[in-house]
Amino acid sequence: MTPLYAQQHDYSQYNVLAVDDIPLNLLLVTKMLSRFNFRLRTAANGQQALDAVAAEKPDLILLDLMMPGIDGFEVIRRLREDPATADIQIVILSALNSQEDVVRGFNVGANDFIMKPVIMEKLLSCVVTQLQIVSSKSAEK
Amino acid sequence: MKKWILLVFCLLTAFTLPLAAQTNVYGIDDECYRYFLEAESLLNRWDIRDPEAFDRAVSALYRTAVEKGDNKALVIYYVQMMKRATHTPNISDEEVDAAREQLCTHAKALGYKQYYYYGYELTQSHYYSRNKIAKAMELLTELQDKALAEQDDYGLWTSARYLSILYIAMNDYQSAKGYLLRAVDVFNRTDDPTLLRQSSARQLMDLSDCYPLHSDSTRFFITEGLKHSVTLADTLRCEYYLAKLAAADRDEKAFRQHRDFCLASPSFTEGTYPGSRAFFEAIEALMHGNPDRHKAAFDNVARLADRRYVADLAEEFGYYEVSSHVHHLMVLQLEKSISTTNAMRLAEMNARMENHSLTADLAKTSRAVTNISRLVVALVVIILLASLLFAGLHIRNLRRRRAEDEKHIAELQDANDRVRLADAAKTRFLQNMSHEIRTPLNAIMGFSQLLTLPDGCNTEEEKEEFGRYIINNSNMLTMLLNDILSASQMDAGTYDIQISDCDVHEACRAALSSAEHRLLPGVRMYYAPETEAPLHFRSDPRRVQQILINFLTNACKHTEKGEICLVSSLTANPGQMTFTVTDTGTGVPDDQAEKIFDRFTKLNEFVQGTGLGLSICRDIATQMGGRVYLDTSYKAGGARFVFTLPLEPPQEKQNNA
Repeated sequence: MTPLYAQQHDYSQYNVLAVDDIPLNLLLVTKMLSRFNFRLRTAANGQQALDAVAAEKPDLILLDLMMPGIDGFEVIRRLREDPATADIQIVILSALNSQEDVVRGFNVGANDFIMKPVIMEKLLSCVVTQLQIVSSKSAEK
Repeated sequence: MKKWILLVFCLLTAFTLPLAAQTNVYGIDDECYRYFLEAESLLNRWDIRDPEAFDRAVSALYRTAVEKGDNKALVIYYVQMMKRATHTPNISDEEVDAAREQLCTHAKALGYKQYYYYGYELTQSHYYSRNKIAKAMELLTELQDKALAEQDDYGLWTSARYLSILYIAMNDYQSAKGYLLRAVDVFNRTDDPTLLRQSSARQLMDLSDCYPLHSDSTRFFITEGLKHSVTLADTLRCEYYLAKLAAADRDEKAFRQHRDFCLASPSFTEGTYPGSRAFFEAIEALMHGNPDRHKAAFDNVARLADRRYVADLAEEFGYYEVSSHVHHLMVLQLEKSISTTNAMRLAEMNARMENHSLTADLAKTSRAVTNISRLVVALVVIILLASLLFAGLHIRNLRRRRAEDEKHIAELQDANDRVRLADAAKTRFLQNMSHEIRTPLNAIMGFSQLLTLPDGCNTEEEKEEFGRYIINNSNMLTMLLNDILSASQMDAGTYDIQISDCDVHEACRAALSSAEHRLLPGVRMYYAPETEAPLHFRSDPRRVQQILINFLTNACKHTEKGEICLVSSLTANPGQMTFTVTDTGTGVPDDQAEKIFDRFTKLNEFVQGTGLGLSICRDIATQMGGRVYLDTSYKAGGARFVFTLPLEPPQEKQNNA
């Protein structure tokens, strides 16, 4: 079976937002997802993330939890409160890995949770799944 | 025959009288004695022949006694005054008592006890002669009480004696017996010389009367009485009792012998035993069997005791009529002597005396009870007080304990709070640590994965880039783990410092390269030693590096633009090696200057780091005898951290000393 990174997908219609306060992590994610051809924007903290969402609604957000100012949980909560942004697929990428954090993440409305250190295949398959969901949702509409 | 004996006796008396006059029996001054005799001679049985002469005599007696300083004579004066009172017809009881008081006071004061009691004798005889039996008994009881209180044998003897006489006068031989026995007992036991000069013969004789005619006790007591006879009166009395005994035994010869002896003494017939002639005549009549011919004699028997004896004897001899007649006379006599009022008073007296003894017992018992009850009350009070005290102490204890408990609780709460804070801090730290470890790990693992993609996925540039990232993050992870390890070692006390030669420039440059990866773009970091000449000193180079790396990485984290400068100096602090890291970053507020060296405290919560760094630095520095601190005088924007070490480490100093 071909590994995901080798597969060719056309995700050019999708745009993805990655949020992390540590630049190296953003770089890592960017490099890992470079195989996919969707547009990838980055944000360094919660506030920047919200601004980016407001500027252009993403299909998928890859969100770190531990960030200065507005943390990941708060971002999710705000996005879910707003009907306009309530349907964005959000995947948490966090070093916080306790049961509580995972459960809390899901409770506030995250769609999936990936633990750092990131396993590349896992990240890729998760992104693919999420984009499939997005496409099927838009198909419904 | 009788008349002859009488004559002889009178002559004898006549001869002895002047003799007696010369040798006064009281042993007082002769002149006083003369006055006494003068007064004495003026006394009739019931009154004073010549009251004025009597008064003159006693006054003279008094004067002379005082002049000559003769105390006994003085007491005798008071005796005479007493006799004056008792021989005054229609005198009041109070006056008699007053005279007795006088006598008693002086007798006691001057030490003539016998006259003290003589006063009582005279008074009670005064009462008795006036048929005031109850009063006499009252007086004697009073005397008895006094004697008991003072444990005075003479008093006890006297009171018992006279009480017995009173009871005999009332024909109560049972009570009399009791008192007589007591008197004899007191007499036999005593060592009181005044008493011992007396005689108990009379009591013993009187005891013989307390028993039936032919009882052994009668004979016994008469014999005892004989043994104890001292005076002529005693002897006469003996003879009298012996005569009675002989008559009961129907021994006519013996009877006559004893009777004649008695009748020969005038003091017997007129004084002590009036009506004794008639008595003896009656007895003889009974013995001869012709009582009817001597009826007058039977009627003239005077004494109650004699009448009783005659009645008993008559009954024994079978002359019942005579006996009954004499009994009747006895009753009449008793009735006369003890008038109704007196009888009532007597009964009252008796009752009172019984009451008195009962009261005494009751008093004793009640005193015991009172004592016990007082004891009980005292105990109860003590117990109450004790329990109150105990309760008070207990309450105080409780209060104190409560205060202590409250304090303890407060302390515990404090501790709890601290623990909670520490716990919270630790949890935060652990969370932090987890995050801190995972972050470089994430980079390492991530970029490693990217590197292992097949050829074509990454450019050569990218490969190099990724490789660098991996190395840097590995370093960071290593440092982090070192810090954590050091912290735990510090805590466990297993942190080690190995002193060797330390090349200052080498250490500084190595530290710089280790911290480089944290350097933000646009910021310049460099080493500016005071002198480029080789610089060495004795220390632990690893630890020095550790601290410097910590300083530098901190500076990198907090400096977005400008520069970071590491300086080493020998001259800044003499005797110390000084390292300084100065940056143009965000700086540290003055109030945080010390707090940043606390464990788990981060100036900025979200700057990457465990918050261990500076506290580790301080611990290490302290271990090595040095100091780390923030230079608060540096105000040029940014922060300056200082690290000093002694040129000779304390460990080595100890070894060299």
